[in-house]
Amino acid sequence: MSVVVRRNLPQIIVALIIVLMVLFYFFYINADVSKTFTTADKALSDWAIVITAIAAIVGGIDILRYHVNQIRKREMRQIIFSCIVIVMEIIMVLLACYALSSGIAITTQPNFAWLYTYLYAPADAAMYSILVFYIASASYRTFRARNPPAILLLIVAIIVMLGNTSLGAMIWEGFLPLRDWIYNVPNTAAFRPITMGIGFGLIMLGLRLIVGKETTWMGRRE
Amino acid sequence: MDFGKYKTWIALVIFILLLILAAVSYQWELKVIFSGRYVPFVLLLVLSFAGYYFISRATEGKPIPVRKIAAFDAIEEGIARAVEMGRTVHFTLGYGPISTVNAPQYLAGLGVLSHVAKLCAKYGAQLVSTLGVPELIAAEEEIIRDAYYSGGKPELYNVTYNVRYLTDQQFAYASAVQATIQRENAGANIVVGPFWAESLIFMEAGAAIDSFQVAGTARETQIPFFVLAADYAFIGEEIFAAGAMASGDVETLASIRGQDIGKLVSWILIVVGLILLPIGVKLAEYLVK
Amino acid sequence: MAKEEKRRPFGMAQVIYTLLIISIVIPLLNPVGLPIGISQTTKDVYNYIENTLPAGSPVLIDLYYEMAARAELEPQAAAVVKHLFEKNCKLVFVSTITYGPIVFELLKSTAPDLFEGKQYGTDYVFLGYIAGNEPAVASLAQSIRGTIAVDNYGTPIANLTMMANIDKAEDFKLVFIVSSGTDTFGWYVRQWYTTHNVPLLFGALSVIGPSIKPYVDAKQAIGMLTGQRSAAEYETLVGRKGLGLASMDAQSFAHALILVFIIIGNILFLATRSKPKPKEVKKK
Repeated sequence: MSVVVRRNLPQIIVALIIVLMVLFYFFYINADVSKTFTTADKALSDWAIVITAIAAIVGGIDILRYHVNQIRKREMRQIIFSCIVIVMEIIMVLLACYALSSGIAITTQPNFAWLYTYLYAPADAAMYSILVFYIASASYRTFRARNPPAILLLIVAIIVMLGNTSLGAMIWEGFLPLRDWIYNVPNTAAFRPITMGIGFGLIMLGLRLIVGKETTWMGRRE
Repeated sequence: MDFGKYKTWIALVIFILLLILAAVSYQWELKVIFSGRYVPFVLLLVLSFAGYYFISRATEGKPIPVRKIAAFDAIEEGIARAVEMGRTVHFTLGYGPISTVNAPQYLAGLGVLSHVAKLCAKYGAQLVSTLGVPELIAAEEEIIRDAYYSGGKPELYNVTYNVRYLTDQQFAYASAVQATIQRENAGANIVVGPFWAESLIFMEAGAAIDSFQVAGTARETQIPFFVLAADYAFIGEEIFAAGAMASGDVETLASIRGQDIGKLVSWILIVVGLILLPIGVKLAEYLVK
Repeated sequence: MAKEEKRRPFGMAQVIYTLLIISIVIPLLNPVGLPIGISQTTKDVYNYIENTLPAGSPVLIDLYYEMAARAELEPQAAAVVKHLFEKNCKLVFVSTITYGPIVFELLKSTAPDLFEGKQYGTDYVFLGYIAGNEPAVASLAQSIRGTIAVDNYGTPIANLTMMANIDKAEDFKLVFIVSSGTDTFGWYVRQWYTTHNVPLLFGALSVIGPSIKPYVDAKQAIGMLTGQRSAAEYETLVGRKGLGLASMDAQSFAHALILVFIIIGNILFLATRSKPKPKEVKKK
């Protein structure tokens, strides 16, 4: 594939779309153009969903490739998990195809919904719940009074934790309003500059994409 | 006629014309720019021109100094440490579809991955890169392959081993990454991209095996977890700067200065707003008109 | 490549985990009933729905959460839905996430009391999953019928009684977004509040609270509920004992345990630091 197609064409497409999106976001030309832009925006979004769906198929094949490879290599610790992944992937794909062929939404297909609700959902919730253990061990490890900023962090963490619980209210009623103040004032003040900085970083990234300086997303050089 | 020499001047003229257009549109209430979007438009213009100006100066051979980011330098330290201990290097980018507002963070992650991959090739480290973004599988494979081949270590490249697409579902991805970190006994765990609740899971998985951890995200709610649990952390915009630094290109690095102009403008607006507040003028109300 | 797994002996982390399990499971099985205070943020939301929102108003509810976030967000959704139904509001449920239909059915099955006496099509409808993220939300604001033709169950929108006078953003008096993500709130701020001035109410995870607070401060949203704590507070206000309240005892004991360990950790840390270092023996 020539360099023009591999490198220049994607860069031109990206630059054009960025400029057009910015243009139509800020400039009002007339009602028809505005409506066309909204329609085009929705169309782009729909195409992106289609691309993601196709990429998900590629991803599914990649998963199969990796796990089949693990089974072939007879990695004993991995083999049982790889078998489970392959079996479940095939079952879910078959159920989804069956749902589509029946003309119903995939998530309303009873078997798919059952597997999602009683197999996947509890595992999903369990992984989210594991965070409480990790927060506890991370708090134990990191909330140490090493220096003045660490001491301040420790005090604030204790106030917020006590403010969140009924036990805190039993010790002193002021923990809840103090917790609210910490959330509303210093916490928000700390988040806002980070959000602004992220916005500036995004604008610079967009500029680099337009002028062709950001090329890692295209993969291989040359 | 060579327009290359006059790029900056042409950009300046366009910048001034657009500023005049915005001012005239606001003053005479012409329906050219949407109401409520004047200030964001002007800010975008200022930032874009500033970034372009610094890029042009760098092109002309006047490099712009950029402050060091400790987390970026720490990546090499972590990889070298992993090689000394005979352990792998793990990198992860995040999960989900790329067609969201988090797409720039995936791009920044790819930039850091290219740096990580080059260092792994330089030190002869085994790199395991996990991801949950199906659209980026091919890009990651090419970046890592390119790094190993250019670094003279083609024997270390094995597409099935080096690049592992897991899933685009949050906690399935989180549990798979956690398992990968621990089973591969990663000596260095580098986590850059958009992350949600799984951020602490990755950090604890790495901490359990004494992994050297460098993490970064532009999702504000997860930054505190990374700052607390990682050895080094990129905070917010630093991941975009890291992506630029990874390229090693002076012109790309120079664009980071544009971010500083944005911060300067914000400080000025905040100070002016604070000065005007006691006299009953709410600057924010004028800015959103 | 060295792939030996380091097997740690039973350490401090494992002690913390064990005690944490005990401190969470026992209060869940044997609730103590610790009192909880009501924060001003939750009161503001309650007062708005109670005093400002007219009875019988159409309200759009976007259920944008998956199973992992269900424990935190479903109690909020249930408590607010109860309050809205008490005011005879017409509820239009929708979901902009793939698992929305499953989540809605789970809401109905775990809180059937909410829908008692309410008729589908007259008091509430569920339009199903609408793909497209922000453009889909913008399209809904322009016209619901222009975006989708049928509801989640295949019934044409035109056949749903309550949808006769409800089609675009201006027809709604409130939008309640229950989301585990951050971006969803921005979509509605831009596409429903900024362009159509429809009041917004946020239901979010506690960790996301700080990042959506600016919207509430800027009056782009009438208020927000964050996490199980807000759910428990709202359940107290509406008089419905649900999962939010049931979890507060466990949350309180778990927090207390974590605090104890933080204090123990600091005591050990300071004791180690203050220990005199052994004198170095100089070699002659």
